[in-house]
Amino acid sequence: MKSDRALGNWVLILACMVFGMTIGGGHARTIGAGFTIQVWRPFTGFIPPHSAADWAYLFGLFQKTALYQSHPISLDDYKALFWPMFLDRCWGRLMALVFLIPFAVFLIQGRLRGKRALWMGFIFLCGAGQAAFGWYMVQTGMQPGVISPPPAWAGPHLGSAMLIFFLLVWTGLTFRTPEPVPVAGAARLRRWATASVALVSCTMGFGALVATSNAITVFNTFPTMDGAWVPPGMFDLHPALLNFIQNKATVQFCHRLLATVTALTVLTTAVMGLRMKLSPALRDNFLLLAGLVALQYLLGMTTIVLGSANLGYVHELNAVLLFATAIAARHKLRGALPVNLPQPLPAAAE
Amino acid sequence: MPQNTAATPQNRKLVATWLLALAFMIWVMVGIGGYTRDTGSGLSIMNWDPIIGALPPLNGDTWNKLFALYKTIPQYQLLHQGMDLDGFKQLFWPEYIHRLWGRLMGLVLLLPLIGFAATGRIEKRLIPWLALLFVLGGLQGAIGWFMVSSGFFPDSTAVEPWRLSLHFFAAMFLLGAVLWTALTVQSPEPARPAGCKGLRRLTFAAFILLLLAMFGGTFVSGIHGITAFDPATGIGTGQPPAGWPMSGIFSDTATIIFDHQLLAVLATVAILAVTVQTIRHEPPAPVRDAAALIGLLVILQFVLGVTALVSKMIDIGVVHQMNAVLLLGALLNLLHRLRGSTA
Repeated sequence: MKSDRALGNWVLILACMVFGMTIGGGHARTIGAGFTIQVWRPFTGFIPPHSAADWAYLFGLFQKTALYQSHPISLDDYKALFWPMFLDRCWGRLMALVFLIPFAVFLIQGRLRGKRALWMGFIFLCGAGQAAFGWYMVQTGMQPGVISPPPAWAGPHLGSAMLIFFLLVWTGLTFRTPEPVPVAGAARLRRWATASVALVSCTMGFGALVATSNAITVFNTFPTMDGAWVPPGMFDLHPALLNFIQNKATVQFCHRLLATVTALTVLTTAVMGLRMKLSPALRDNFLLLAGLVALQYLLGMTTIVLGSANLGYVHELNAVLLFATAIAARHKLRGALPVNLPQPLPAAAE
Repeated sequence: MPQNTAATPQNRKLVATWLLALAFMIWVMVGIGGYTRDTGSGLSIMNWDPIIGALPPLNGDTWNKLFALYKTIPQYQLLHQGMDLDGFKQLFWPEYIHRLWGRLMGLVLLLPLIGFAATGRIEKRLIPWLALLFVLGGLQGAIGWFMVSSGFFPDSTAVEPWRLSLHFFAAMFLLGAVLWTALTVQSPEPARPAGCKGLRRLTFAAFILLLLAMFGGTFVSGIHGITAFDPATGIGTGQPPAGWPMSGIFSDTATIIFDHQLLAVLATVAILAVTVQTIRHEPPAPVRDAAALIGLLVILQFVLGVTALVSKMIDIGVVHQMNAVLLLGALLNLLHRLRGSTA
């Protein structure tokens, strides 16, 4: 396969847009706007409400949600919650355009063919699935007693967004450098980088559950959880598996434990990388990785101690940057070789 | 003849290892000292007998005499009224061990020094310098006593923070001197890494900032700031106290904590900048590793500091203090490896 920078940059721009979507989605969650728009019109929904009747219709639907019934708000307050959510959905439609138009152009030009075209089509379907899943999550607002997107919906929603993000970053980087660059003696480093990416993903998964189960309101202490290293009540829910989705104590404990293991693993990986002779790009990648993971740990500590959802939002966004950096490092190590390349014999001195 | 044997690699290694062991003992001493303050036992021994004080109380009589003496100081009357002999013993041992470890360090410096000097295993120029460090070590004992005696003042239950600071920085000077000497014995010739002159200046600036942050830390510890964190009033959350910086640099708890945090952030940024710059410069492996080490230690130090603040766990405060000393040592190690850098 030959390198195509334009193709790679297009896919990386899409990855950046997924990051933008995380900014919008995280913001919607932080202000509690998730249930404000109880309609989904995939094609015409980009037209904003412009008459009193439009507003009355939308507000009327919102008034049926358990959220409204437990916390009634005025139409003006409703509009303030509506716009961020509206923007979030428009951003999704914009992403579809930024996908489809260049996709068509690249297809016509013949730059995107065969497996690459099929693969990008698959990613598009993932994105469409993500949007549909988001809509079904929003619909849970119509169920009695549900006043915020349930963790069992919102957790996987972030998880699948991160999966799409991973696919886009990896694919974009691969379009730019299709042939793995040999890195001598880095096979072990590559295993550590793989473990780093995997651990960051798992930690983010539990982070999403902490955010969506509102576990930030409990155990606002560090390093212990209200004086206990293992909090009480971790298995209060039945079946037991449910604890790992919506028990605040359990998901926060798992997130803390995984975060510590992840931070240590990522730092070890970065130090191993920095102690090897690597290309400047890979070296800087590891420096950034170490810096971001340290920042991420500090942000997490600060968030939980202050119980601040706003800081939690910053912590979430930094997690995405950390994830991208770990993926990029792992990508540059695709060509890792188990042992040093055979060195050519030094030319005899003339 | 001794002059020549002193320079052999074996003898240099011997002397360097000895001095590094001594530096390690000073580090342990910082931990014991921190623990002594942690348990509030620093005032449990009311006299200072540099030589015979090494003997622990051996019978009930001596214990009673020491306890009776302790009962006369304000700390007993204000905090420990009604404490029994067992309670007193718990206060006594950490302070006793702290002092005993100091005496042990004196011996570990003096006896091998005499031995190495007699057998010509040590360079002559080091003998007066190390003898001076021995005297300064004794002076550090005296400073310790000077500090402890301030805890006996009327209505006082702890030592004066500035005397604690003095005692700590005297220890840091001794540690730095012993470590630098050990490193110089290990590699007498400066490596003179090329193009690292700016880096060495930056490292020196980071070193000064670290010293300032540590100075702030001694005051946080001296005023028992470990319990001060309170998001409701903003103490320790990073917002400047009303009237800062003239809000009581050496007296107001919120100001002391804020100043320590501010200096810590500056020092952390400077040290991380040194790490990044050094590693991106692709220096020789020992310099690179020294830079990676300060980066890791400063991250750990920041995390420990925040943890100590928010958890109010004094043990984490002691670990934070010990890690600060490691960081200082690691920074000196980097500075040593950057000796003679050229532009």
